[in-house]
Amino acid sequence: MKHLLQVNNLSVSFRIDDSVTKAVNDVSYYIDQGETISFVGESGSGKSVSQLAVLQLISTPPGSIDNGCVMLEDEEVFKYSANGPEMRKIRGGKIGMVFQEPMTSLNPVKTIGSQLMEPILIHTGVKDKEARKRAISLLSQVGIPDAEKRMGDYPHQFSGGMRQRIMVAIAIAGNPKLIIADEPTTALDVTTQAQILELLKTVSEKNGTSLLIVTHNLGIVARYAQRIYVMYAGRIVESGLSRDIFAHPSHPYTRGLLNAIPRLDDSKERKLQPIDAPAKMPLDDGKRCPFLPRCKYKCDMCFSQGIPDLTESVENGHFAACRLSREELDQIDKNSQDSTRIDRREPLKDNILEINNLSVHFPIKHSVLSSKSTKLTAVDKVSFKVRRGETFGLVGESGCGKTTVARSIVRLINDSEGEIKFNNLDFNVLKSSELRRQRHKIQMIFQDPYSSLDPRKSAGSLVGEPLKIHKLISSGQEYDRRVDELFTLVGLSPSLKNRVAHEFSGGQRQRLGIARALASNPDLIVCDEPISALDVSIQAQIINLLEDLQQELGLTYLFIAHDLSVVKHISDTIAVMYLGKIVESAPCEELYANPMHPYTQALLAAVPIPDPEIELTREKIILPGEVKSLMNRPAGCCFSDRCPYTMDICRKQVPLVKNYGNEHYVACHKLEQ
Amino acid sequence: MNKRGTSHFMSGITRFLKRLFGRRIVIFGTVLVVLFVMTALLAPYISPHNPYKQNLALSFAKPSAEHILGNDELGRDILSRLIYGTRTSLSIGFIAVMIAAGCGIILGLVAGYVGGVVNSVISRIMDALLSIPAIMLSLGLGIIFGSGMASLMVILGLSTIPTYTRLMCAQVLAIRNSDYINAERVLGAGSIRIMFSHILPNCLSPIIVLFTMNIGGTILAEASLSFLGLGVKAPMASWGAMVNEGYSRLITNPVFALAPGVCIMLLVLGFNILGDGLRDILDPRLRGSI
Repeated sequence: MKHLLQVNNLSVSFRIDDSVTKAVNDVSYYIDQGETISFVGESGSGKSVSQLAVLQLISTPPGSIDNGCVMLEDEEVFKYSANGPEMRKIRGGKIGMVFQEPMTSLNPVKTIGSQLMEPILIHTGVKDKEARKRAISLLSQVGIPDAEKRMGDYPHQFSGGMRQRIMVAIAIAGNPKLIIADEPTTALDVTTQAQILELLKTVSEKNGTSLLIVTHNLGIVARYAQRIYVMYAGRIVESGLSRDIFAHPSHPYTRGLLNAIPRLDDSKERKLQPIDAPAKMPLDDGKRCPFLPRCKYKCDMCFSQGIPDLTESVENGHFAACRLSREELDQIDKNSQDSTRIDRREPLKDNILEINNLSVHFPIKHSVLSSKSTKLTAVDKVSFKVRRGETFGLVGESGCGKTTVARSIVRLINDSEGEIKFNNLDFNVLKSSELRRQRHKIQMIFQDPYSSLDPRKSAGSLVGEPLKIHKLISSGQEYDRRVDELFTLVGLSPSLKNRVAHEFSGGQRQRLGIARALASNPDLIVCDEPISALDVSIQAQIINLLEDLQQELGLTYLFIAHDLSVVKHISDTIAVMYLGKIVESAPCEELYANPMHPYTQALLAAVPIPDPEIELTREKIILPGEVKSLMNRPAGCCFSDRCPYTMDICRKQVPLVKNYGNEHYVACHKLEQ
Repeated sequence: MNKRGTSHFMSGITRFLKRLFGRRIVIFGTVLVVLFVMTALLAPYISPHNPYKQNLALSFAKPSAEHILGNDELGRDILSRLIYGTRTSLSIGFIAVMIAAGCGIILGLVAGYVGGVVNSVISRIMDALLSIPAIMLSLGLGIIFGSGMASLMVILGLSTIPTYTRLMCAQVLAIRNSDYINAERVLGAGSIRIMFSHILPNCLSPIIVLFTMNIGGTILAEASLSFLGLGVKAPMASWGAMVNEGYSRLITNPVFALAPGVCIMLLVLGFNILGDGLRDILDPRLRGSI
């Protein structure tokens, strides 16, 4: 059978300062008409570069396509020059592309109408009027309301999700045979992610287009892809049908990935198994299996023999590049069933943190000259209690105010209203001198490990700084000892303490951030999305580290995240925020077993589970519309404009938080009846 | 620990130099600058004659074996005066820029970090200073401070403060809300600590570049002020003053004015190339790719 796109032995390398990096190494794959396939891998695995190379979109130099043959139907793509007319016809005409960042992939100074008409004019040869008509129909096809009116709008007038819809419209404008979506939803919220993926799916089904999704999210793969290619260090290490791979992963890396991610349907006691990570991604020396340094299944054969080829395993079309057979891998797994469960310490009864009616307003000036300003309420009368020794998860989509709550608690935002009672001391009324003395009791771990460490300071002095600020040490020796101790505590070698931040990998940097937070012996650590900037296999390490530290030091965490599976894994109590309000809060198991608020239900349904069998049977709730901006919050219940059960009273009256037993608090009119 | 710290620091320096001199043109600029600095330091040993000794018999003598570049109006050896002039020009250039950078950095740091009214006041003053043409400002300040080497340094320094303040202020504004500064605040670090131990080091790379570039500019400004008569007092030698003296005889005795002119050009060129090289390697986007 003839494939729509067939790629054979593709190799791409980048030359930077005399050193050559092989980004893609001998990669072959195909996609058939109407098929949905997916490329999975962590950052730097070469999954995006492979796709860009097919379209000849790699900038040369520094990149160069060393080898390979790409057949698109009957055309040999690499025969054409990168910017020649044939290549331009393929891009957009035969292959459409959707990029990761909807914020930067549209031209900000041109109307979306003209950006959408451009591919139509280029690839279909129709005249202006007809192109405009088609553009409008495309816009309504991708779900932009009032398509005709919005043709003249500029990209900044659309939200992220809407812009990604426009990108999809542009990608399908030239009637392509194949759409390549490069991490299409990574920058989007969970509910928007579900919308965009559903859109891509319906659009490709309707036009018979093939769809290639590049992603690191195994859940998305399980929900949408029919076949999967798993990439590691520039090579395909496993490929096959989605259900085969999820049921019987046959490469150590795939197994590692599946064990490393927390799942929505996990039991809470399963300990995540991270993949051992060397400091830097190993460079492929072309002699041994590239995964060898991180592999827990390695045997003598792996060292003595060269790179394993992709070999077909039990099922048809399921290939894996590993010396060991699936049975041998299973056997090793069985023998190493240790410490896969976590013992959780019971949280104490007393409250370490009590938030009462916390509100944060930001003034918005209308113009430079006018003194009038309106208030933007980012957090609206939020109250919750955190018990000593527990992990309190605060979940919500971007813009719901969860980070603002965190920043008010550590007093990075100073003019919040309400009570922040920490250890029975109202933090919100402390004077700045008193505050500085109390500060070491609450610490914070930041989201982005790349921007939260001073790039000019050595790792040792970063971690040791709180000791000096709060005068927690009496001598230089004690200082050195304590810094070494902190490094060891977070799993870093103290010999690294003279390095500066950029010499560490992302995961190591986050460990440094944790060590710095621990330095002053805090009672409470506010974790603001501490793992969302990290790769999947590294996330598991950091989560495990946080859990171990909690056991060891009796810490309390306020854990803020948008990833519901992670929050479920780590938290004892969870609160769900929407537009600056807490809509539901309950003990973790209770919330996931019995979500009551319609928003929580939709959020949970939107999270894909990395198992195709389960995904088939799950009910999907796709929320209409988008998160409203805080400026025009709907009257009454803030969720009333998207809720499937909205009644009259929801639009008029703000629902009150009520207890429905089991410490389960919900703010919803429907439940009251 | 200290020992390891030092060796780490040294390896950093080696890498830094390796990258700096990776480009030939930067080597050329550095050699120029080093040559001039050496000349200034060793002036008494390398100058063939006493630069102040007058010999009216040799007034406006053409170049000869004894006096390679000839003699000036009062019969003083031009080469020797040129060599001694390096001292004046370099020290004025360097110290004036130090004054400017020192004041500018502090003002910019405070304005950017404290913000609000303080920022507005400092910024408006700087804007006002910037809006006066540099030469006018220098002349005005010259009236207040009088002429002479010390006041020349102060004048030139004061008139370049606004550039540093603005650059610094913009840098601080970009950094002060970054996560690592927030992290310091959460740790309970005080304002002084945050400003000087975290913000300042992270703002320095563009300042260093501006610094080297400004030295060239200041030497030129010194030359023009000396040319206008506001410069160093006779009989002290300065390149600017020498151009001033020689320019009226440009046609009859071109070496007289051209020699110091060429020196100024070479020194400014040297500093500019060095500044360019520094800018390239201190660019934060290139950091980590060493």
